[in-house]
Amino acid sequence: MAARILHTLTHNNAVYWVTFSSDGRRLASASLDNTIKLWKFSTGQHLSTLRGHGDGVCTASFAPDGKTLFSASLDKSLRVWNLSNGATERTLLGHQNYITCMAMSADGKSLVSGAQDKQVRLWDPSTGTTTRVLSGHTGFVHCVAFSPDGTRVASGGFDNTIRLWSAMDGSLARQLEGHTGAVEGVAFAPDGKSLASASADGTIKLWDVATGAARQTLRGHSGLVRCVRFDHSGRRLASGGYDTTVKIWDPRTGRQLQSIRGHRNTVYAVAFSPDDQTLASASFDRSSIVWSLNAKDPQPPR
Amino acid sequence: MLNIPGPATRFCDGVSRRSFLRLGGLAMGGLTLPDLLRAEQTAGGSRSNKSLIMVFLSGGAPHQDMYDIKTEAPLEYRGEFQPIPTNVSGIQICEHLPRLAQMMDRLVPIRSVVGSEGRHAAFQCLTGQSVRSQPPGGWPSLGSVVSKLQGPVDPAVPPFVSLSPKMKSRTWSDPGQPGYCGMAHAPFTPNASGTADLELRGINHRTLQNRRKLIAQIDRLRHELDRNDVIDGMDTYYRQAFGILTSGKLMEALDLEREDPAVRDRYGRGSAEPAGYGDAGPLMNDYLLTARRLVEAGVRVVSLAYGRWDWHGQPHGTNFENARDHLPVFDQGISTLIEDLHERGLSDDVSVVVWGEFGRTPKINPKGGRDHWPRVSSALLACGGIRTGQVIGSTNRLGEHAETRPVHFQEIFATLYRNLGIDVDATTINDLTGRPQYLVDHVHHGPLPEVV
Repeated sequence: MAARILHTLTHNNAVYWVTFSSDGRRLASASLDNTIKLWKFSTGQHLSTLRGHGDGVCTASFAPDGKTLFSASLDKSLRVWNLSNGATERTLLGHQNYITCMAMSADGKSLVSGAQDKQVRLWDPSTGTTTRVLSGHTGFVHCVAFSPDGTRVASGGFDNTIRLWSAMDGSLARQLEGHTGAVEGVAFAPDGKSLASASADGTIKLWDVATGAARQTLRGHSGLVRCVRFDHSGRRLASGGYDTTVKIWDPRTGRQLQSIRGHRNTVYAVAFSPDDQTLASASFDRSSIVWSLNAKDPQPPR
Repeated sequence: MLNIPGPATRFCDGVSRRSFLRLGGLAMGGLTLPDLLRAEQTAGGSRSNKSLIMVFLSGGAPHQDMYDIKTEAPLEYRGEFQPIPTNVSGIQICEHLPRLAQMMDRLVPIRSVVGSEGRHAAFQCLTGQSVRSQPPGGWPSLGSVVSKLQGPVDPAVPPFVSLSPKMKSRTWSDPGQPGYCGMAHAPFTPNASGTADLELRGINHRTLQNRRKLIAQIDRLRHELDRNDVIDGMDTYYRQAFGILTSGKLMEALDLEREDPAVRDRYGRGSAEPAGYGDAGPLMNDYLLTARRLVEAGVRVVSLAYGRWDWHGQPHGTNFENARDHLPVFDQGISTLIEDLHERGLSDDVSVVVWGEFGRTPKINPKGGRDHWPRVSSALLACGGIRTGQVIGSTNRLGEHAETRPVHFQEIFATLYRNLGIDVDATTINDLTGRPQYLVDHVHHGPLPEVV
């Protein structure tokens, strides 16, 4: 099944992140051009640009109510944006070096960030305060994820490890080892039982969260794998990397289902739409591409 | 007639500076402004129409990932790019420069540029000198030297234009200081200061001429009070500005809306936003086209900062991600510029140099980047009547240092001056103490014998 390009959304520099709003009507893309752009999914129309960060923006997440957006930047800050007026409501400070990643809990009440200061921080965005500092990584932190129930945090980084933390008390629950290169991306399956990791060693690994065992190693990318994400059903896994492709995998069998070409540089992020009919990818080629994954194009929400 | 006190400087044709200023006084009594400026040109400059386009790769481009792929080096040095053959047998360059590869017979990559002072700045590429030991008044940029020695080709067009825009980093947006050549020879900077002040708003030609006369009278008074170089330079600015305003030739050259859209597409257009994160040049191929239009209009030296090549690695992208971003745009823009100059019959008259302040570290750092490496870097020469289709110099297996034929920055400057009709062995300009200064250290650095 071929993927079809619905929209190409551009920035003035590399695009590090793309995400859908929970209702699927909007997308947000974050870029090394220091901005976040909001887009209308149905038409690809540019809606607005959020300016304020002083360096590249590595991640953005719509809050569940769609009225607020959270972002993380290399400028060592996280920001809470009011989408009704594009203003920064709150700036969260604490990291001492480049922030490289951020994730939001499913209820939107917590954020987790990782940075080149080797720390993982949990935040309460309603107050702007750090609630926990998770220390233990011996290298830069490259990726973080919340478990679907919000009780666990996964982090990975330059020390080749994945660490599973309790989001409740900040304790280290488990350390997953097996990658031979930096861990660039982590994602929990929707049931919270599996974890996928993308690595500079060129592989994707699927882990059993309960036991910490590596269940499968997916090979197919040539070069570093930058990002990994499950769809909402848990039946597909998307990845992207240095070879400029987006690949779709069956996480049960480890079989590669699709390899999607269209980008001209490293793919930094992938995201499924809420109905799983569409995939968005963000690339260093200054664009985010919105792909239809079905032969029959989806009817965008109105 | 206004009589100017003070010593006179006699030029080679016997017309003194004092005579020139008297001519300036006469101009208000009958001679036209262009007559006046032509008189200056006769007094001080040559009629050479040779010119130069200098592309500054702000940040320092990776020599080993462009023209000098180190196929024999270990992976942690070599990186990911493969060499491709060019249309000159035996010369290979990076796979992401396919258009340049196919016109290698028109190019000279220099693989062994040495003598970088190691500063993150355009200064050395603009002046050929180190910022550390400057004579009184400061080293002049090449464009200022040419302006001083040769004057304008056309009185309505400034001899030196910098297309570099404003950036966070002033050392990269530096348009080129005039140094001891004086303010009159500073570059016009339309992208840094804008062109709004060059447009006539509600003023017709006659009104403008009246204002010109009024300013001239004020200037005469001021000259009697203060004859320092800055004021003198500002006077020249006023005159140039009036010439530009009344002619519109510069504005026409700068206005790409007048260009065939197909030509802009061929160059690749690009973005005016500073590439990288706001502190470097834009990846703007339109500016390369503008540079060609400017030299056609009579500008002698056009400089511009292009792209952001300071690729230290994550989280701002690896050296290779940034190279994959920049090189295809660069390849299209530079190859089209050179092709265009050839097609328009300008290839003998317009020199092109493309370079940065230093090279990049041979070993790739843990963040996937390459850091600063002043020991060796690269440059690309084209056009200007030089012998092309050859590589000059080489580096060792790891790209650490020049192994054969180290080429100093000043040798490239000497070559460019030679292309512009200026003999570096014979030409001096007095610094502010009156001491004659050669344009380069001509005892040690002359034009590249391989190309002249």
